[in-house]
Amino acid sequence: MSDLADDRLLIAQIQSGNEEAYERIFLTYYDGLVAYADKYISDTVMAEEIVQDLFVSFWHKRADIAIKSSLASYLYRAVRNACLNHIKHLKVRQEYQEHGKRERTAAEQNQSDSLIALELAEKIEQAIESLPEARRRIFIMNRYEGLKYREIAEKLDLSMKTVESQMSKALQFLREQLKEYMHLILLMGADFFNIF
Amino acid sequence: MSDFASHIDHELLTRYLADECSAAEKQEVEAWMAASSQNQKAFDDWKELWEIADAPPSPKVGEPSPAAKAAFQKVKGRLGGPEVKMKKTSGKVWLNIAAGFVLLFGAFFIVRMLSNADPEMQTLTSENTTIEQVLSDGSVITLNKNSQLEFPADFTGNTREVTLLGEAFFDIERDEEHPFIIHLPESDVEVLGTSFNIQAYPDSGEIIVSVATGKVRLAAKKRPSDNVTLIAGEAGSFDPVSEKTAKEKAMDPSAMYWNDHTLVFEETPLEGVFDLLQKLYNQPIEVSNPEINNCTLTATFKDDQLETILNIIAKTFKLRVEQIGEGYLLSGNGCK
Repeated sequence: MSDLADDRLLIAQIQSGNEEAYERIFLTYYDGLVAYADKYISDTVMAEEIVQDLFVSFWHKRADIAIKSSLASYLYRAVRNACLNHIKHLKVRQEYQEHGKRERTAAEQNQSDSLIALELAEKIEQAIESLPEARRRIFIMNRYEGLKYREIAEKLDLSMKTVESQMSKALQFLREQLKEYMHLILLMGADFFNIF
Repeated sequence: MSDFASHIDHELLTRYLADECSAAEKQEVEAWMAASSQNQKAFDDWKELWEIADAPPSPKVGEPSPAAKAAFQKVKGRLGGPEVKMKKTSGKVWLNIAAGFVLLFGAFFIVRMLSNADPEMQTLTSENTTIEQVLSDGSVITLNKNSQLEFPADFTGNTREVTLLGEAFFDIERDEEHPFIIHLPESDVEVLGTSFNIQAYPDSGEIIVSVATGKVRLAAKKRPSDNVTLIAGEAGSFDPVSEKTAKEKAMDPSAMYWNDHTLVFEETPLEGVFDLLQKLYNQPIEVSNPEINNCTLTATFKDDQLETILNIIAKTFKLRVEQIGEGYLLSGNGCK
């Protein structure tokens, strides 16, 4: 399942409207995604709702999905985005209630949130995917595998200076690739990273 | 995004985010941040980008729970519902592009498989700036101005091959199983893993290869038996008129100056040193006594001011240096 070729096949099947493929993905990832969301928002019922909404949106936007990386990392990233967004909305909602105004219903809100979360997840996957191969390798070794610059330099037999410049260039590249989405990133990020 | 934030070295900023800073550097970044709210905002933006590009967690996969099966039934009931329109999050039309991409995807996949033998080539062209490019094997190539490099997106096959027009510095990842070959007009350079400079501008005639580390083989394309093997500190050339390769007497001390701002002199007579310095710094250098030109210099200078270099030379050969107008005058006994 984790195999990229398998993922592509599944995506292609879903795109052609195959509900069995969709069910397979749902059942494979659902429990893990809910547990992951729950860790972020500490609300199991809401976590289930977020993941279900995501899957509904995923089906509705199936024709537009253009991910080449792993389905799992796409889904997990989307769940995280949705959780960040949810936390953000909780704050906004509180403020609204304090001012006695009516907010959009949670259902309306969640549906558009999950689309945004999927869209952003896809864009991030694509941006990282489209880093030049060697630069991506360095970036992933640092960000995903947690290696220090020194360890990367030794492993790849590169100078520290090269690792430093590659990391900096990778980040600038992502900024460029995601510049249309920066407002979404900032929207989701703002308070979150101070909390955790 | 934060046009009014003051400048900060981006590598330093990235190191800060990656928690790779020394205490002093940390202070520097924090002082910069505190200097203005624009700086703080710029930093926050980069930080959020950094965080959002974090690792996706490793997926938890197992037998679906009864809750998952129940949830699927719930979700299934919602699939037939009206499609929720994408809320416009930006004025751009990338969604349409993505849809087009998906339609093409099937065809694209087949074409890729059929043409696998000829991996996609990319062309990098520098105009007025130098460009650094990391290849898929980790090799780093710095392209000098007005140069062009053709390379595959991915190295497949038994050799790693690229094509160069113009000048570039190569820092090649060592991989003895997959020799690295650089195609030049009329000649080829083959290496296993090393760093070196190649000058092959179409209008300058000669091709010159200068080796910084490791070992390099330069061969004529038509007659590969005509080749020279060069080691660190050596230079070789290919003359397109005689179609011959040759080893140079000495490497040009400034062969890699454009890239690393380093001058390497090996027993170079001061006359040659001064010629080069005048050219690079565009300031006249005079000697009061021709015997000064006989002294030979072995030294490496990196990112030094002309004055610093001349002072070191003066100290080495017990000369006096004084600035006269735009230029410098060296006086003293010199060497026999």
